[in-house]
Amino acid sequence: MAKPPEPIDEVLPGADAAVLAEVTRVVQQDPQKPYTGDPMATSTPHPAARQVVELKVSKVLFGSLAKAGGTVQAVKPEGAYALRAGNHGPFVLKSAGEKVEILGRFGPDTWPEGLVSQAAKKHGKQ
Amino acid sequence: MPMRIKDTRIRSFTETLSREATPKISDANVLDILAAVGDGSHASAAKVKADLTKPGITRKEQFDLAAKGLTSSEKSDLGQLLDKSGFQMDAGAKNFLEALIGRAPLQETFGPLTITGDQKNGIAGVARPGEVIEAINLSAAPGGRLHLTDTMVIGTADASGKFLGTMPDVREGDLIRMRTRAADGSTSDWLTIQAKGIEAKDTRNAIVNLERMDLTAGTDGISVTHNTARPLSEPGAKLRFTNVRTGEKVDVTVTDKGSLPEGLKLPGKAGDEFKVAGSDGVNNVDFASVAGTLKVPGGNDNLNRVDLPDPKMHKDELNADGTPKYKLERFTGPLFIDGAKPDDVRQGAIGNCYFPAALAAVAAARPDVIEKMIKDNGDGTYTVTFNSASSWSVGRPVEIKVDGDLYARSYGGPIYGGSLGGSTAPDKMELWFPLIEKAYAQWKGSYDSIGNGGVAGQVMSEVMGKTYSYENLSGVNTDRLYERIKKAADNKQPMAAGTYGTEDASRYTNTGVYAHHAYSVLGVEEENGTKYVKLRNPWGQSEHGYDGKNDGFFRIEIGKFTELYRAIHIVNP
Repeated sequence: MAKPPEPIDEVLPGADAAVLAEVTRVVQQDPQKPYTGDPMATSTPHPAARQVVELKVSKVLFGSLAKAGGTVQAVKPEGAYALRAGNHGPFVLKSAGEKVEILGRFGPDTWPEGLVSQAAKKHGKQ
Repeated sequence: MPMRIKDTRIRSFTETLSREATPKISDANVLDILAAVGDGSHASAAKVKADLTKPGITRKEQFDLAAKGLTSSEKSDLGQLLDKSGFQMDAGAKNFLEALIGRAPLQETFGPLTITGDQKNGIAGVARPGEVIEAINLSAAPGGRLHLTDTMVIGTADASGKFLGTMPDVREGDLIRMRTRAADGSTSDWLTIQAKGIEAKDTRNAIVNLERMDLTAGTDGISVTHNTARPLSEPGAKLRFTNVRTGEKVDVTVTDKGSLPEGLKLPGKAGDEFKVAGSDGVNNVDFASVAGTLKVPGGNDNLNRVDLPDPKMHKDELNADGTPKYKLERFTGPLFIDGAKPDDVRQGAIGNCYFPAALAAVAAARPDVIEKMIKDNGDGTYTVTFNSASSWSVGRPVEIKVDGDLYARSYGGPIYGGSLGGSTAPDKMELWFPLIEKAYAQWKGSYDSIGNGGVAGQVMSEVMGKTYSYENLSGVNTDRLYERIKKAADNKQPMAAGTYGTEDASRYTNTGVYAHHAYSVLGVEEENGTKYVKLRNPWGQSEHGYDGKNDGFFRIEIGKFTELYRAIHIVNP
């Protein structure tokens, strides 16, 4: 892991919404696979387990998957980061059937709000 | 016999002067000696120096100020300067010293023109009554259309021989060349001074007029010629020519006529570009600021077409049939634009953070190692020399040859490691980091071999040819750690640190530090009693805290550092 964040222009075309939100609780935590590699090594492919979290939305940057003031449950896929209650920032979201999935290699730490808004305008989402 | 200077100020002056390439007691710095001699119970050296540099002061008045405080011990010191120092001396300066010890009478003027004091209120001096004083600013002239003889009249000597001339746009440290002109049109020899007392600091660097240079390729290198009689820079300025393809540097000194040394040759070939930087000896002494680039006409692009096998892409970038998802593109930019620096390094879309973190750490501590480890073969290929060293043993050199082909994104720039702070165009991007990374992939097998994690200390060893140590940071004494990092930074030992793995990933979200990631450690600093570790994220962005720039450089309080980072790796001395 520890690849750099993806360029937002590569991810935003596949996004359905972006919100400013805070994690209120971890609804579901999948078991974490143990790490057996060299403890001194970094960037080894050892993803943090999948989670389902509840997000309290304070602002909608674009899209209609969530409303400001409301909550939404979202899947944090297996990947380079993990969430806990209190984590906050811009979440770029994608509709995945009945679920909502968080995009971006590092979730709310992938891109700042200004960059998300700028890219949303560029891609005609705002 | 060595000198035994007793006066502390004269001794300090002598020691400082001795460290110069060509120590010289000039008409300007002799005033420091006169001040040291002239001080005493009646006045401090600083007060005497201020009096000595008053506009309009004559040599006789300066002599009297010095003589007033002269002791027998200082006479001995001056005698030693004259007889034993070996320093070059301006005639006026030498006469001061000789007159003070009674070896010669004081000459109140030297030739037809003597400059007195500093230039705070103009250019003051003594000349033959009625003669006009002509001057040219040698520091400003290369930026205009003046020849060195295109002087302006700055004043006329009065009946007592004194003059106070005015000249526009004279800055601290400028070189002013002057002569006198008599009524019959005859002129004196040139006299050159360096302007002083105008500003607190000399901030105007030597101008370098690139349009006045021509580069021509020949069988024995590149000839550099001066194509006009107008000066291309100020006399004595240092110029550095850097071949952007090979990184080779040539330093030259501008002649007394503002020109280049005769027969100047640079190593290179047709089509090469040279960055030219100038320094007046005070400003831009590291040549970091470049005046511009000159290209040698001609060149043969076929030289860039030698094609070597390329390391395979990481498995994430391979199609099911094993073909790469990205195309190769030939990069032909310079290896180095302004040397190897940590902020050149940008990690690509590959899980090898340990590699750019290690290379940026070496670039910060020992850029010379990076600059020597990669060589442009001049045919579109490059030889990179690693070492098979590890944490416990020093190994042997390992040479890897690669060409300039890099896997590139459809919209430009390499998919893997690249360069920051400049163009990513194939003919312009600084290449040292992506090519060293490519050579590392070639050495280890493929980009997949190096793109699934690794140890930063190991890479630093393989670059430096030295062993490395590591220290777990859990529970470490932060004061001792601070001193260890400080000492290593002072010793120019490259350092890197890694964070904990993804099983602890939730502790990192919103901290600006990322799990399972490697960072270059650049040193420590203390502010208001709080100790910090200075780090760089190899992504060239994304930092702990907000310092106003998102460039990957940041600092973290040392307690937080030991909380978020698992271990530090330090190359052994």
